[in-house]
Amino acid sequence: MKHLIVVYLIISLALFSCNDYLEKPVSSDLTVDSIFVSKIRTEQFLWNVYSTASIYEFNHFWSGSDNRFYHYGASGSLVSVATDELEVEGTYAAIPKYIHTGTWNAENINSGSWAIEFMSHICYQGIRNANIFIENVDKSPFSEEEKRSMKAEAIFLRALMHFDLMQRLGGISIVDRVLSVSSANDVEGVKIPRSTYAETVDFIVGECDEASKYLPNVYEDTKYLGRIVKGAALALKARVLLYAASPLFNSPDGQTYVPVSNPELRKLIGYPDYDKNRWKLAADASKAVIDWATNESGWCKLYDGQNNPVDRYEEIFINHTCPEVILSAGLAQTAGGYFCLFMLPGQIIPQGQNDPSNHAVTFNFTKQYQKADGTDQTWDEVEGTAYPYSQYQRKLGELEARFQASCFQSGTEWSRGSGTVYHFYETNTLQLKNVRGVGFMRKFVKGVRNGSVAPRWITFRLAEFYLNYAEALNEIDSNPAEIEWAVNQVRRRVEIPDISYAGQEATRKMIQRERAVELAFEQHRFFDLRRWRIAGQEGLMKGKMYTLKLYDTKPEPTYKLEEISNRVWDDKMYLYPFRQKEVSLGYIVQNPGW
Amino acid sequence: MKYPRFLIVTLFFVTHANILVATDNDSTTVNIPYEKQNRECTTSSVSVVKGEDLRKSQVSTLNNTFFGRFPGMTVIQTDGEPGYDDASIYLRGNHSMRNNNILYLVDGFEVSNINQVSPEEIETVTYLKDAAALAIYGISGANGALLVTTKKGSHSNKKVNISLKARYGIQTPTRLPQFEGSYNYAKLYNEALLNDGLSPLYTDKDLEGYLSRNDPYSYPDVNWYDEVLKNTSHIQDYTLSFSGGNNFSRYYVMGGYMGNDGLYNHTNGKNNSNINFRRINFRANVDLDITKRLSVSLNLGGRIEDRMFPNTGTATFWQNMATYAPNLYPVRTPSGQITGTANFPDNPIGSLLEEGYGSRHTRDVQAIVTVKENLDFITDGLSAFAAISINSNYQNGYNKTKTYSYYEPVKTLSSEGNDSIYYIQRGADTDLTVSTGNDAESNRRDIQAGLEYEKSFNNHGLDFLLMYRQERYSVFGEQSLYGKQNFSGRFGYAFQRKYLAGFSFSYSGTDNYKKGYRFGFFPTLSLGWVISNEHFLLDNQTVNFLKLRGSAGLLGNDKGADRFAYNQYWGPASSQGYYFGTGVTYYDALVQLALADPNFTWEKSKLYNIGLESEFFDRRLSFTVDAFYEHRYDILVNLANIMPGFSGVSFSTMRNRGKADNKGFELEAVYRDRAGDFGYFAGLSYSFARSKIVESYETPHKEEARYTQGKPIGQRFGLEAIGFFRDDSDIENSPVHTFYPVRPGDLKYKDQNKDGIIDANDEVAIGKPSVPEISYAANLGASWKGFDVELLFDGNTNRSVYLTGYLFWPFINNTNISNWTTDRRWTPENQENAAAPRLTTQSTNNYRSSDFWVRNISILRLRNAELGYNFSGKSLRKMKIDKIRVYLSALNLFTLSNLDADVDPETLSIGYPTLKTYSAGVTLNF
Repeated sequence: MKHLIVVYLIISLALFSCNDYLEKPVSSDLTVDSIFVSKIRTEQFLWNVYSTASIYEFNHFWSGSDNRFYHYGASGSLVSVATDELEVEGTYAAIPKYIHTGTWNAENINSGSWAIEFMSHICYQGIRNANIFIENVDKSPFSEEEKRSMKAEAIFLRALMHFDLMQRLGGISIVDRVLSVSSANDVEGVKIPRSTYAETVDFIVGECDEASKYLPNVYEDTKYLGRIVKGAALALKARVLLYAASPLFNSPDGQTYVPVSNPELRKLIGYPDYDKNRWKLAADASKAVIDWATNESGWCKLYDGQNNPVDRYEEIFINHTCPEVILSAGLAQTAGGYFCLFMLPGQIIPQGQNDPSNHAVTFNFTKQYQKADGTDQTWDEVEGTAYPYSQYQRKLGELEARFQASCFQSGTEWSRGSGTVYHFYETNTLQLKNVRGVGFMRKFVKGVRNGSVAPRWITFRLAEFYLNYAEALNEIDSNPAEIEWAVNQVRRRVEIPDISYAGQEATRKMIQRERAVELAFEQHRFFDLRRWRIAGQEGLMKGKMYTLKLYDTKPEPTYKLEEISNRVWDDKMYLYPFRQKEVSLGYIVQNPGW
Repeated sequence: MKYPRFLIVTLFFVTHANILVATDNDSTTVNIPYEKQNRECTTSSVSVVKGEDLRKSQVSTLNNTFFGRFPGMTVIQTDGEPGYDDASIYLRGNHSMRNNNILYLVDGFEVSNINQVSPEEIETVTYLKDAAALAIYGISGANGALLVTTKKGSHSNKKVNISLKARYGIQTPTRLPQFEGSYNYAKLYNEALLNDGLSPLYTDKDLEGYLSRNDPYSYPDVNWYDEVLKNTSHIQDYTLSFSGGNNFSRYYVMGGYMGNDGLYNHTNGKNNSNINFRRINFRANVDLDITKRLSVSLNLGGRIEDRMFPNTGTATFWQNMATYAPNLYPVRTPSGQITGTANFPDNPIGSLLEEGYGSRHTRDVQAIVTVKENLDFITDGLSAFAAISINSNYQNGYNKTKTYSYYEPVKTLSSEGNDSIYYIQRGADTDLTVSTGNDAESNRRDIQAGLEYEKSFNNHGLDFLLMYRQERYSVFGEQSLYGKQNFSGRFGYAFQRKYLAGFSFSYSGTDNYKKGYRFGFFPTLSLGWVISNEHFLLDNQTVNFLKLRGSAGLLGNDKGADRFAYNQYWGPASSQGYYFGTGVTYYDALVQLALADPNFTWEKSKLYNIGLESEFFDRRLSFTVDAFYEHRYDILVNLANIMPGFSGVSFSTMRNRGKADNKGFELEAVYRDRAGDFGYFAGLSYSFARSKIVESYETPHKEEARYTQGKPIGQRFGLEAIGFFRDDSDIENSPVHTFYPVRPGDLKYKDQNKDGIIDANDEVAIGKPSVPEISYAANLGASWKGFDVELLFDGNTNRSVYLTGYLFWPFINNTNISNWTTDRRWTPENQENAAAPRLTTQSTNNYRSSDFWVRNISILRLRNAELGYNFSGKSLRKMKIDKIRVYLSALNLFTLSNLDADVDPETLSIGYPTLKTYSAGVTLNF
């Protein structure tokens, strides 16, 4: 019998340890409760909300591993490449491939890990993050005042993301709470249908009003440059109301951009009726931004530094502490990295990459710029005829300061004052010959060198709101003096002569042109052309784009007016398609025509 | 009913007879782990192969001996690198979209891998197929199991049996792809540039230089295979074993050495190294009967594995050899320095000889102590057992590395207009630096204990087993240990040796699930009918044995899941922070990680099997057939696919919702006869398995054809190529191809969804699954007096392979072009017969996943051939030698395949090739 003891000893040993044998050991894992009990972790979660929010509006990072990082803006270029502003060279850029050719659709716009332009589902991930923060921040050990302010930041960011969706898609799903999915059965419960356009506008405006109550005018500590201030909430509200009042959504003739018979769909893509008062709301909201800057912020004003208008205008986009900027985002990469890769001209700046996108300013857009004296340049070139290079240099050289600051054309220096002048027709390793426009885009990237800190990407700057204000006033058809004042504030800063009111129709053209020039490449025109319902006009987002192409002829170099691309436009493109997946899941009504 | 009384412990009642193994085909019992059991009584489906059969293939990795041996198993080897040449094993095909990893056991205890166990120490390898066989593994049994049983000593009249075996083999690649030399390369590169609308790179003078081959420095023409590789490599193995036993003890002791080197030339093993794999195996299995009732046994087995290799990864190294353009640079400068350029610094000779070497060292020990107690004083037939096992695996690395200076040739024109070359030094010479690390360690501590009962009286046979098992597993560097618990049992009943019934169960759980959700109950029922024991067949001369059996059961698969996925985790994500401040300071951020599932559980499998075993004509012919159907459910699928994107949950959301079916059958027939001195046998097997994804929760698509649901697991998707573009007007009139601007000679794809655009939405299922649906094997042998010969064929079909990589993509990233491509390429002149697209240096249109590159292939390979002679007789006996055997064998001697590509049909890559081995060996038994 004693031998049995050995056997049973082992058996009982085994069974003894049974009780918690399979228990998970204590480890360093984080749960939601351990995040919001700590100030540092609560803040870190707020940074996550920033990170997934759409402040960037720009494809600032090119990462295959973490797709949360390139969800806004187009792949490989600025969205301005889709308008008459820019052309681009390079195989990464998605817009020439899909949008210029009209081959984008609900399947390929945003297939999951990659997007032509904008990833709506990642935007909702940001919204989810904001909701988690809003619902949990009260548990954190911050003071009540700090909590309110931080919560207001998250509310603002949530509103900004909704706006980002709305400007592309019309009425969208409003998600203002954390949607819980603990089992597959919950999937139906998180299918949030689209709200009407009107409801979406009201939601965002309401959120902006709520956030602006608690947001500070300024953060004393400059290390927080880039955090949300009250002016940003006012600015978002002003932009939303301006868009909402615009013809695409608030159609004076009651017509939709493509015929829509379903009255429910009609409400999703805009207001079903016209209301002039929407312009009044837009004007007031824009004026509120200007008033906040002047009277309340204590720091915000149109930038007026530097000695000459070219440097002054350039500085806005380079100087991180420019007082005109209400909200901007720091970009992940240094200038030699991915951020600038898609914008830099050829090989002038050694960025260690072989395939820059070479954004170039089209001839179509060059014509928007006046001469420095406020008159129009004479553009009488005929396609195919050779003209002397000296004429190219003269005509472009006469254009106003903002052109000189925004475009790097042949016969000029990249670094002003360096004495190194580039002639693009020359054959050399710089590959400037390949420019696909009148000159390379230099806005944002002047002074950038490999390894230097990248410029910040601007979401809101004060100049926009002068132009918003002028536009809205003009549509109300009142107060010419105020319109002139607003537009000329922006013009005087770059030392170009004033405009004067010339009746509603002519003034509208003036304001639109002023907006094109002042806000060039800042990803406004892509949406402006849509909301004005003129995107389909020849030469804007449709049809032929031209360049002034240089030839190394003897005895003198010459240039010719040449077509550079011919773009496809269909009126259904006034609004984006919803991604096919959401439509297939049955809870999203697709926009008309897609 | 003959129940052997010495059957004391059944740790595995799963282990039953298999007819193919009937080398001792006149016996009614088979040697299987821990027991001899009457094969008539089994109701489960297994395949058993003896270690001595596996040893016939001279390879360094155990699972490369499995080819053709087990019906229902498909083996595919894609890499021949010594020490890293493990084959992929598929047991009855694929079962789950998520994880198909097999359970491996040695002497009843789970191990991570059996590949470095020496065939010499193996008694049998048992493949457990059906629910009755797998039942006791419960929560981790569903994917099938392979069970290695090591040799034991047995009672013998002799004092000791000594066996000495030695074998030496020479290896060559089964096939190496052929690439172009410099002249053709340059000419074809110019053609590619012209095709792309670019100007040619090589002048007529260059071409002349490459053609004449007079100046190897200005016009190099290097075949890196020739520079780097030897014609042959070598493999050798030696084993020495002792076994014996008396009335109260039995032992088996073995030591073995295996060495296999690689194909690289010029190495010295000191400051550079050929690939080299050396392994020492040892084993000591001892059984002691301490008293009449109590016995103890120790199974101790272990090994030392030492691997050496050049510093550059093998895959990269072989890719460089294959793809570096032949005119890139000469091997060395005229003064003997290694060449290299900024873009191509990895001159293969430099990588091999000048960068030192790396090595990896593994030690693995498994020790099992078992105590058995006969409890017949309580009731006759009852016994108890308990066993403890430890398994420790430790690995570390030892590297000697250095860098070297290499010289980039720069061509200039001298003032006289002649070529002249100067060399720019790049890199720098350093001394060898020793580094150690990359340690890995895993440890298992397992316990098993239970009660067993076995008794027959009158017409009834009764047995049961109740067992408890617990397993602890730790992995170096992981926060949490792994744990598993398992209560299992089996009840068997036989009536008049004709009607058999078995019920098995496992109540098992792992630590990976939430408390309260950790354990599952896995029952299996099996039935058998021994028809040959019915009176009407009892004395039948033709039918010697006939049995019908069937089983149905529930099994689980806990592999393929993240650890503790029921917990919602939060944490930092890669570069998910934000930048504030004028200096652009980075602030870390926390994010919600994959969405947790509190109900997270294991995969479940309903497994049905029906089988027929038979023997005819004085047991000369045996025939077995098995058919199975498996329904797998609760497979983890990512609900993010069907999650509304606008819920904000677009990250991983794994849930147990997937379903898959698998069904198939195996046939096996062996005929064995003898006529005087002449004996012969022929065995044939044929297996079929087809899986089907039943529910997969995929991203919704407009196009029905893009869903994997309803298709087999491993189905490839791609575009349908409908020829080459003839000319510009053809392109003009075709749908827009969005991948890259197309030119004549590019592949033209079918617009499946008719939207006028060719993009990913036009992808459809192309070809057959990548894992063969059908495998077949033939084992033929004969003997005459002392001579014997044996051939083993193995192959598979109903499979698609995909031709991909630089072997098929000339000039992409400046790679070389294969002869295969040259012969088939599209040119304006060769439009009709073209079988490859135009050459290009840029376009990516042609290398998209498409059916153009899919091949449905069938393979038949002579896996093993052996010719041997056995000496015996008086003179040997005088020298106290029982037997001497000498033999010649060959591995992978020839391959039949319908693949029209210049690559081994199993390897399918430009990596380390599959090898052909010619061996000679001798066996001495004392």
